[in-house]
Amino acid sequence: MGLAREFTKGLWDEIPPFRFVLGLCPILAVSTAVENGLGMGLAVTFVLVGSNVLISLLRKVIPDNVRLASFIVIIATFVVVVELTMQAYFYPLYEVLGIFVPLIVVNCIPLGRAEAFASKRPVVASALDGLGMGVGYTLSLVVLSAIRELFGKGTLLGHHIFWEGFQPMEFLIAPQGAFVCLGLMLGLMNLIGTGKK
Amino acid sequence: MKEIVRLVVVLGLICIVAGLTLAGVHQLTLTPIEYQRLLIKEKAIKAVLSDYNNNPLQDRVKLPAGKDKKGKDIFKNVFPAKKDGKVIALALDEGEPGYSGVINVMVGLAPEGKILGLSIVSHTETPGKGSRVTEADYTQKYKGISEADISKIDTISGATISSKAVVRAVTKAVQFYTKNKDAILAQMGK
Repeated sequence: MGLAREFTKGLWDEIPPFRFVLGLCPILAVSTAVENGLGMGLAVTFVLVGSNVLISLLRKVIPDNVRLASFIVIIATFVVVVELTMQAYFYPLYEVLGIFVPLIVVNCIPLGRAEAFASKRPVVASALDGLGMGVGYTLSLVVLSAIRELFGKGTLLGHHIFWEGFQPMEFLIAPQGAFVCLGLMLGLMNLIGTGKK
Repeated sequence: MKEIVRLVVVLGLICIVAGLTLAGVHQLTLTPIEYQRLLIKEKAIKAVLSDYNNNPLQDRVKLPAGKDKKGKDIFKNVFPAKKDGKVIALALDEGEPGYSGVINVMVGLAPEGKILGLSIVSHTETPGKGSRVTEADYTQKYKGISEADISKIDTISGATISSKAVVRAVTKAVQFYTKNKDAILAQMGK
């Protein structure tokens, strides 16, 4: 597998939310506006790359039986750094994302990649894996947020797109709408398939 | 035995490094975060006060406002609007539980105690229903009234709990000011 493949697999074939069906909770809660989805996706990507790289560097040093504990400490540290940075410089985003920033610690994706990949593979591959998964996650979030924001509020990135008097489907902004949209996207992606039969 | 030592050392080292990193980042971000928290109020202050040439945030006065559940002192910030050094108005914020979470309001007051304006600083009410307390149609109703008339304001239909929370918050703010008026104005330097 060429190194570039480690990155691109996260964008479609092994895209976390739709192929692995991992990390769904924050996706549902945060995708009410493209800005929020983008912010969340970037935060997760930072944590993924950081923790993947560090864990890969330490993979020969960490004893097997404290593996998970070590991974969680490392992931949690990155998450808190992201949280503090967001609070200091992107406060409005932090307020919107709320509790879902600290919840990145228990998001299955960083821990899953650490366990399945970074603890066994060299640094560059792990970094690319983290980056690919993160970007794939961000893409999923942005697309879902775009659909929900456009048809649920009539705006994209805060700018009004539709004509005056357009009645948005507020249902899409509520949790129920999130589930419906996610389900439809999941079904669509399964329909299109991976192209590998 | 060697196994266990290795476990303890590695995990311990990882935790120590993590702890130090976090302590460092925490220190670095302490000031920016405090400033950000105040910035949120600035927008609301600008919405309820006008025609001043000082910095209400920087000139804020702090007053003791009782104790919280753990017995720690709580302080309230009151933000003065001054024109050429003289206090022409002031603003303070207050929060009350609404339908889902606390609604934070910023009330602009004239030194005599009349309400000059109302702005909703933050809330997590239902979009389209409770969130309507942020609409100008509703907040305008508070302009120019006195404490006695607050409870007479029409509730937004379909958003009773949210409206009542705003009424309570505004009343609380006004009452705090009336009770501590002399101390506040003295600290502000009139």
